[in-house]
Formats: sequence, structure tokens, C-alpha cells
Amino acid sequence: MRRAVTVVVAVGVLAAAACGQKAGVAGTGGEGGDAGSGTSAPTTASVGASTTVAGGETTVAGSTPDASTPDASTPDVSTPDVSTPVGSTEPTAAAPEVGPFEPGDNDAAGVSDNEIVIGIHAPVTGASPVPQQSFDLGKDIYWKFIAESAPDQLFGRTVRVVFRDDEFNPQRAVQVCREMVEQEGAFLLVGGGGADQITACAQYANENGIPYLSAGVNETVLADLDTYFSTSLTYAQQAPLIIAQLQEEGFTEAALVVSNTPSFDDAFEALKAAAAEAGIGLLYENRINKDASPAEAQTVVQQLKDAGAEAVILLASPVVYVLGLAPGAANQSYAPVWIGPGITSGLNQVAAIGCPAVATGKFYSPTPALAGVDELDPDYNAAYAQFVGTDPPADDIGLQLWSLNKAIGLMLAATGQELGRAAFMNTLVTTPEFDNGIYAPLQYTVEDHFGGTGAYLLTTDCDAKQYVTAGLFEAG
Amino acid sequence: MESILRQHRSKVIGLALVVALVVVLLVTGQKGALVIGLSTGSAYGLLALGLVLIYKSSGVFNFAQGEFGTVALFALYLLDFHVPYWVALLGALVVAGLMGFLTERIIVRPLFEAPRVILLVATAGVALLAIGVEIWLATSTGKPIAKAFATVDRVTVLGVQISDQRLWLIATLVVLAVLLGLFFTRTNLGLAIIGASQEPTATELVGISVRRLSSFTWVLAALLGGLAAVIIIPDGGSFGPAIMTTQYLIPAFIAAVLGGMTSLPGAFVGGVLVGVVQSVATSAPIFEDIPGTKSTLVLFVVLLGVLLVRPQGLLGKGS
Repeated sequence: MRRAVTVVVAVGVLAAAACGQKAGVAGTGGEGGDAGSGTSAPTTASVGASTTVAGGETTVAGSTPDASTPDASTPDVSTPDVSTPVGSTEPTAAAPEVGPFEPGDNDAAGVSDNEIVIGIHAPVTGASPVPQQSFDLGKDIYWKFIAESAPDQLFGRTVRVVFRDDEFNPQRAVQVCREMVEQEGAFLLVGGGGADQITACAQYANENGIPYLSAGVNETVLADLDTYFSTSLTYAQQAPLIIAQLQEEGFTEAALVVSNTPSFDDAFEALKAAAAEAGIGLLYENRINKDASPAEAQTVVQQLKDAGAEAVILLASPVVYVLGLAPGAANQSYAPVWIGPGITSGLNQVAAIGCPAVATGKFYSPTPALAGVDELDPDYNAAYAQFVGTDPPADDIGLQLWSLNKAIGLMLAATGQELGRAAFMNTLVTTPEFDNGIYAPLQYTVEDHFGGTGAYLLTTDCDAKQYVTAGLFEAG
Repeated sequence: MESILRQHRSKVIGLALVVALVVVLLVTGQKGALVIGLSTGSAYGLLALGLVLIYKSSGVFNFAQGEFGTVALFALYLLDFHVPYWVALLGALVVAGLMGFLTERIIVRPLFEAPRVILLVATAGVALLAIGVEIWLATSTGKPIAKAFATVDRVTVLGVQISDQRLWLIATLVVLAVLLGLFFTRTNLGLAIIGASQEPTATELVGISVRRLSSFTWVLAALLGGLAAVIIIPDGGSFGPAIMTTQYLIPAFIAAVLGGMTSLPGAFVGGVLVGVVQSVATSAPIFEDIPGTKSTLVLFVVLLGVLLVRPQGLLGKGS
């Protein structure tokens, strides 16, 4: 009996360490450190309120401005005006509007006369990793490009990027964010992926008055954080796009599979509501484990097949998708359309390792597919070749980082020479929009920090083992 | 009759459990879970065979068992570029066996006289080291991997297709469970291994090298881990560092414990049981409202329930 108990305890400890809902996602949030109550004027310079901060037209690229009628048959992503070179912003043309943020004690931390420090965290190890090499190589290509081609854009400052692996673990994310701020002196923080980690780190940033930017993920918790800003549509904001796309493809029924992390609760409800509003029947709903076991994934696949779902709306980690659901379906000779929000499932890495099982996958992304990006921004591939070389070739993670950094560059430039955290955030909420020529324009207000206005639909090309752009669709 | 039942008590219990499980699943409409449990649980069972083998021979919980498999996968992935698939597969098993041999020589043997808990931690160290090296040399992202049998729709049972790769897995597990059972009960070498685990000094006194037996056992266990990995993982089409540890080791441990920890057929039964429980916990309406990782929760409830009734596991022998 003693031996049996010992065995149970040993297995239990191991399981507890490896499984289960990651803690630390919710509940640590506090009020934003430096965010004021919303009425007093900032004491630092704010931003020029021109509608065109940089990069041309406010119109979204693509042919379908109305989300209710997406035109997936139009793969041509027409080019927005990106002819405006970097550094052509006129950030000193200050026409201050009042923003709600007031400088705190460390308002200019991470900023010197010649340098700005940005901290990025992302999972490059852990349960759902993205390639570390891609992050290492891509994290500062844009800043090197700027330093060489437009050194005055940031008023003579260069940007130093520090990167930390959050190991797909929210507690670790908070730890590395603290390190980047306290040890590396990061001025602002950026979340590279993983909703739970982004939420956890954004809460830390909010408690300390630090601007935090990430691609859109959940709205729950993040909507209450003063210093959080999304750079693309949240999962919930993408729900109408997904449902509209299903309608466009003639589906009247679908299934819904969403990871059971609390971070996805709002997306789950938004997807259900959008489906109901559009008259799309949900044949099956499941909140699958974030770290679903092989048996669980196989069971969900069987239920989807038994339900007769020809389209599956999916919001789960690429690991669950690529290692569990997609191959499980392929082994059952079952090939539904997998469609969903998010970024990581739309990375070429997923197509490269998941094909042919993921051949029917299509996912929304803030950036277009790597193929054809030259039409939107001819500088990325050229800069990658210049600063990294051709081996490894430019990839879509680098493009994500390039696009994000380009947007941040516009924000920094618009803030002006007197750069501080409060001024930076005031700039974001008082500038009509930021258009980097790749993203759909970003629009923030004092009340709404979810700045995304559109997303690209990427479809899988298993012959080339990569995603291709089907179109860019505006939200709302 | 009574004496026969007493003599084959373990087998009777195992058979009764299987029959009861099948009946319950069929009656409750969870027939799919039965097939999914069998096909997925076979992978747990095959990994559990290696765990039982090590435990049976040396009393050690081997936390490196999963990584024997992952390392074999990396070997298969690399060799497949250069040699025919089946040669690559054999090469992968050789690499797994070599890792088992080195683990025994470098880690286990110097700690032979140490308390078992030290060896437990040491095997966990081997696993972590292997994972670190895998990430270091191959990065943490996934890689595609080919499978031996491409057909997926040859056999359909209760509405669930069983791919040829899974059929191969199930057949391998059944054959190995039987063969290893016979090996440990009918061969001198097998009996010597059992003897060495129970009375090492006496075994040495009769002229059997306990240390040599230890090497043999670890190599055999590593081969089983490697075999489990190169059969089951390619069925999903891709793999990454630590995949056997993160996805299969814990269910395999539970399978081994449920089966009795010292029973090789028990590992098979335990593996299937774990697969069925995970599948039922996912699909049965009764568990629908349990938030979080409900399949893990239900699995541990079952584990505790079994151990409360039968501390030695379903097919294990009482101490």
C-alpha cells in the first residue's frame, strides 16, 4: 500500500506540474499606475492630430470594405499608399489634444537622448513555441532599417530591443516582463503571442504605468487595463468576420471549438452571438483543454465528424490544431474547413509541419501572407536581406515583428522628442489613426484601446506549404 | 473452480473489468470512446511497458522513458533523409537503445546503491537534459515526420476509423505484452532479472551479474520507448522536442500504476483504460459542466478509486 501511495504521489506531482489551467492569468490586475482619471491634461507634449500620421491612405487595402460581404474570391490585396517613406512623418507638428495619462515617477525610463528600449516577450519554448531564431533575427530589423534610412524619424534615437522567452507560461511572462523593465530598462513592453501570457504581462504593465502593446487577443481583463493597446482586431472583434466568411462560402451550419482558458471566454461568446445573429447554426460546441491529450483531441474530432460539421470555427493553440485535431480528422477521412481568429495558427510554420492535414485551414491575421508582401511594403524583404541575409530566408514571423515595430515607430515619432510613457499613450488615444501600410489602420480612443480595424484572411497552400492571402476585411 | 479462480485472480479481475467497461460504454452510447481509448491507450500502454520493465527489475520510476522515444523520433527524422524508411526506423531504435545503455552506464550504475528516490530524480535529470539538447540542436518548433503506413480507412470499428499505423501499434503492444510476460516467467534471463530486483545479493552469489542484467533491462526499456514513439507520433504527422514526455509520459505512468506497476499485461490494460477514461471524460454529457482539464480530473479520480480498492493495481500482485 505504501508503495502504491508513493506511486500516486509521484505521478500526481508530475501531473500537477505539467497539466492544468495555467494560473496567474486573472486576478492580479490593479488600476493603471500612471493613468489619470481622465480629465487632466498631460504635462508633456502630445501629438499632432493629423489624420495621416504616416503611410498614406486611411482606406483599408483589399476589395471588401463591408465585413458582412467579404469577398474571399478576391485574393488581390490592393496596395494602400505606402509610398510615404519612413521618417516622413512630421512628428514635431504638435497640435496637442488632451489625453488622460499623467507622467509617473518613471515616465521616461528606457529613453535617453540616443536610445529607446523596447521589451518583447513571446513563447519560444513551452507547450506552444514559435521559432526562437525567427524572433531573434526579426526583432529589430525594422529599427536597423530606420537607423540607416531615416535616422531622424526618432529624433536621433535608435531603438534597442530586448527579448525574453515566456515559455508559454503566464507566471513566467510576468517574471520576464519585470526583468525587461527593471533590469533592461524597457520603456514599453510588447507581447509577441499567447493570450494568457499577454494578459498576465499586460496586467503587470498596467500596475506600473508601462505602455503594453500586442496583437489583439482577448478583451476580458485587457479592456480594463489603461496602458494596454492592441495592434490588431481582438478575437471577439474577428467573430463577425469569421461568420461572414462562412456565409460567403455557403455554410449554414458550423461547429465551434475553443480552448478552455478563461482568456477565450469573450471570444467564445462573441462567436456564438455572431453565429446566432447571422443564422449560422452551431452543430457542436466544445471548450477543449488548452493542453489536450491525444485521446481528448481524437474524441473531439470524432464528435465533430459525428455531428456532420463541415466547417469548424477554431480558437486553440497551434499545438492542439497541428498535433491533435487536424491529423486526427485526416485519420478519420474527415476534412472540415478549419477557420478561426488569431495569429499563430496562420503562421507558415503551421502549414509547413501540418500539411496535408491542415490543407483546409484558413485564419485571420493582422498581416498578409509573406508571399506578395512586397506589394504592400517593398522594404521588408529588402531590409531582411540586408540585415540578416538570405539564409534563413525572410519569414512571416519577421514580417509580424516588422509590421508591429513599424506601427510602434509611427507612434514614437508622433509622440515627439519629449518622449515619455504618458505622452506616448496620450498620443495613441488622441491621434485619429496610425497607418503603417501593412496593418489595417490602427485607431485608438480614450475609451477604446483595441485599435485594430481589419484583418487579412489567410488560406493554406499545401503545395507550397505556406499561407496565401485571400483578402483584407474590415471589421464592423 | 474456486481454486482456479483464486489462482488466476488477476486475470479474472482484468477480464471482468474489460467486460464491464465495454458493457457500460455500449449502454451509455460511448462506443466511440471504446475504440479511441483502445487506439490511443495502446500508445500509453506501450510506453508503460518500458516503465514497468524498469520498475520490475530495479524499482525505479523512470522519468526518462518518454525521452527515449523523442530521441528516437529525432533519429528517424534525420535518418529518413538519407536511407530507406524502414532502415531509418531500425536506426532510430538503435539510437533509443543506445540512449538507454548510456543512461544505465553513466547515471544508473554509479547510483546503483543509492536510495531509489535519488535514481528517480536522476532519471528526471536525464529527461530534462535530453529535452534541453533537443531544443538546443533542433530548436523548439515542430517538424514533419513520415509514417510507415498511409492507409487510414481500411478498418472501421463502431464508427471510428483505425489507421493502419494504429493497427500496427495495437498489434505490437499485444504481442510485446505477451512475449515479455512469457520472458519474465518462462526464461532464465527473465527470471534472473526478477531475482536481481528482489534479491540482488543472492543473485550475485549464484553467479549472475546484476549489473549486466541492469544494462540489458535499460536497453530493452529504451527500445520499447523508442518503438512507441516511432509508431504513434508519425500518425499525427509532426513532432517536436519533449513530445513523448509532455503528451504521453504522465498517461503512461498512470497506466502502469493502474495496471499494477509490476504487471506487463497490466500496462496494456492500464493504457487502454486511461485512453478510454480520457475519451469518456471528454464526450460524456455527465462531465460536460466540469471546467478546466476535466479529463485529467476524471482520470485521477479513477486512479485513486482503483488504488483504494486494489492498492497493488488491477493486475499487480500484493506485496
